[in-house]
Amino acid sequence: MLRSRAGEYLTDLTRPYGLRVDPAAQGQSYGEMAAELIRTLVPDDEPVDLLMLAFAVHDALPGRATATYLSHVCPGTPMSFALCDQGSAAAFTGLRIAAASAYRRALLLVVEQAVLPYDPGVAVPQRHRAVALLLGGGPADGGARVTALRQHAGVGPDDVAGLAAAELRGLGAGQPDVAVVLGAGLARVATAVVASTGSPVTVAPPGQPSTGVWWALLDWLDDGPGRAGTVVVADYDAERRYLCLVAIVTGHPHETCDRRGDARSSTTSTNIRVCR
Amino acid sequence: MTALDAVSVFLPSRRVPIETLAAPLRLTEMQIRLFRRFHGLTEVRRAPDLPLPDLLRRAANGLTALRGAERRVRFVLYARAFPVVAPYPANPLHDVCRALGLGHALAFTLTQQSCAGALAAIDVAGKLLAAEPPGPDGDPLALVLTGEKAFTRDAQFIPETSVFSEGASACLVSAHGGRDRLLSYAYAQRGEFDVAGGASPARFQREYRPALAEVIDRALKDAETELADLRLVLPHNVNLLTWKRLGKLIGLPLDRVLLDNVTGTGHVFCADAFVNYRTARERDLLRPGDRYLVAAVGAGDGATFAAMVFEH
Repeated sequence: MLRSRAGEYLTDLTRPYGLRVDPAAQGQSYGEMAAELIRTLVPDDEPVDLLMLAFAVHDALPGRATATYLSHVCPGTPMSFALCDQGSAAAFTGLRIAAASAYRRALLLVVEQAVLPYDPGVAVPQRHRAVALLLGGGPADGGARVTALRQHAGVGPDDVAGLAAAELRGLGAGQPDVAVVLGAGLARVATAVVASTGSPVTVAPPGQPSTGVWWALLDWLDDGPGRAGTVVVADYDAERRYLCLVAIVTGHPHETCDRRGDARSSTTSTNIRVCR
Repeated sequence: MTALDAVSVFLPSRRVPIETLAAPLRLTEMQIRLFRRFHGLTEVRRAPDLPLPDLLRRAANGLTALRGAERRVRFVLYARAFPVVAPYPANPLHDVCRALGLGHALAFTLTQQSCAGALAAIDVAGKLLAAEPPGPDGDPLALVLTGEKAFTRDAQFIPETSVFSEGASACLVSAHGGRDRLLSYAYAQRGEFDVAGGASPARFQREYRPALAEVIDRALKDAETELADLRLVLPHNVNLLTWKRLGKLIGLPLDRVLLDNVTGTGHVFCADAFVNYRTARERDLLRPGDRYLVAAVGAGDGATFAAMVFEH
C-alpha cells in the first residue's frame, strides 16, 4: 500500500521539474534499514528518549513519517523526528541537538540509499547504508563522549581548507593522541590538513556523502580497540556550504564487533555506541 | 525560557470552495457533503502560481522584527508535514535562506511528525538557542518556518477528516524572550499507526481524541495550569467536529477554542498554530499574562499528538 501511494506522490513531486518517474526503480525504505540497526544497537532495558533520523537522499517511501514509526520499534518510544535538507551537516546537527537537550539517551540514525526513481542529474550514494550512534546513558566511566562540536554555514570552497585546519588545530589536531577522520567532502583539503596539523588523518572514500564519515569513524575505532585519545570527525558539504566538526574523546575499548555484510555493530561500555 | 518573539503568516487570497475539489480528487458528492456539513469545512486556500519558496518568503517578509536582526538568526528550522517536497537535490529551504539574507544560519528541515512538527521545531529551536552564547548583535534567534503546497493527493485532503490549505508561517524564537513564553510541551508518538505498525484505522479513530486529551492534560500539569485558567486554545484546524467532541471529553467550552479559521481556511499543515495565533492577536484576544494552549496532531502514517502551554 505504501509503495502504491508512493508512486503517485513521486509522480506529482517530480512533474514540475520535468522529471520522469521510473516505477521499476524501487529504492530502499529507511524504516526497515533503521529498524534493523535499532534491534542491533539498543537493548530493551536501555530506553532511548530522543531518536533522530538524518538523511539527504530521500526515502523510497517519501510520504511516510518514518521517524514516528521508528519511535514505535525503539525501546523507550522516544521523541522522534527526521532532519534533512542539510546534506552531510544533518548528522552533526543531530549531535548538536542531542547535546543541547536534557534527554538522557539519544539515538542518531544516519541513512542513505542508492536508488532514486528519477534522474536527479547528480551522483547518488553508491550503496544503501545506515549508521547509528547511541549517545549518552552509559556509565560515567570516562568513556567515549562528545566534547566539542562546531558547525559553520556559508563556507565557500576557497575558504574551507584554512577554516578546517584552524578548527582542527583548535580541537587538538597535531597533538600526539589526537586523530582526525575526514569525510569525502574534505578529501580535497586532506593534504593541507596533514601538513598544517601533523595529525594522522583518515579520509572516508567517496560515494557515501551522508554515512561515509561515520563509517570511517567506526573503522578507525575498530582498528585500534583499547586506544585512548581524541578523534576529530569533520566533513564539508560543498553544495550547501557547511563545514562541521565534532571531537570525540575515547577512553575504553570496544567490546564486541559483529559484521553482517553491510551491517556491522559495535558495543562498548562507553557513552557513544556506533552501529552500521 | 523559550519564547515566540514574532509571528507572521501568509495565506493566499484565493479561496476555493471544497466542491471544486471533488472532480480532481475523485471525491463523491457524499464525501464533499460530509466535509461541509459534518466537519464544517467549506473553503481552502490555493496559490497555483506561487511555488513553495515564494510561500515561505512571503511569510518571512511579513516578519518585520526580522529586518535588521538577520545576523542574530543562528538557526532556521523548517517544520514540514510532508517529508519530501522537492526531488533530490533541489533544496527550497536554502534558496529561501539566501534570499532572506540568512545564508550564515544553520538551516535544516525537521519532519516526519506530520502536522505536529512545528511544535517540535519550537522546542528544538529553544534548546539550541539556550546552548548558544550571545553574539555582538544581541541574543541569538531562530527562525521557524512552516509552509507547504497541496502538491499531491495526500497533501490535499485526509479522507473523511480534513482538507488542506496552502500557506506558510514564519516565527522568530528566542531563548529568553518575554512576549509569548513557552511553559510546557507534551507529546505522544504513536508509530503503531504506521502501516507497518499493525494498528487498525478503526483503533486510530477510537484513540485519537483520548490521546490528544492526554497530552493536553500533561501540558497543563507541566505548566501548573488548570484548564479553566486558559484564556484560549489554539487548535489544529482539522475540523469542527473533532473539537466539539474533544471539548465534551475534557470539559472545554468551545467559546475558548479559536475555531474561526477551520471553516474558511481548513488545515494549513504545520502552520495552524501560527495562523490561529495571528488571528488571536489581531482580534486582541490575548492580554499580558494570559495563558493559552496550542494543540497539534500529526496523523498520516503514524501519529504524533502534541500540546504546548504559553504565557502571553
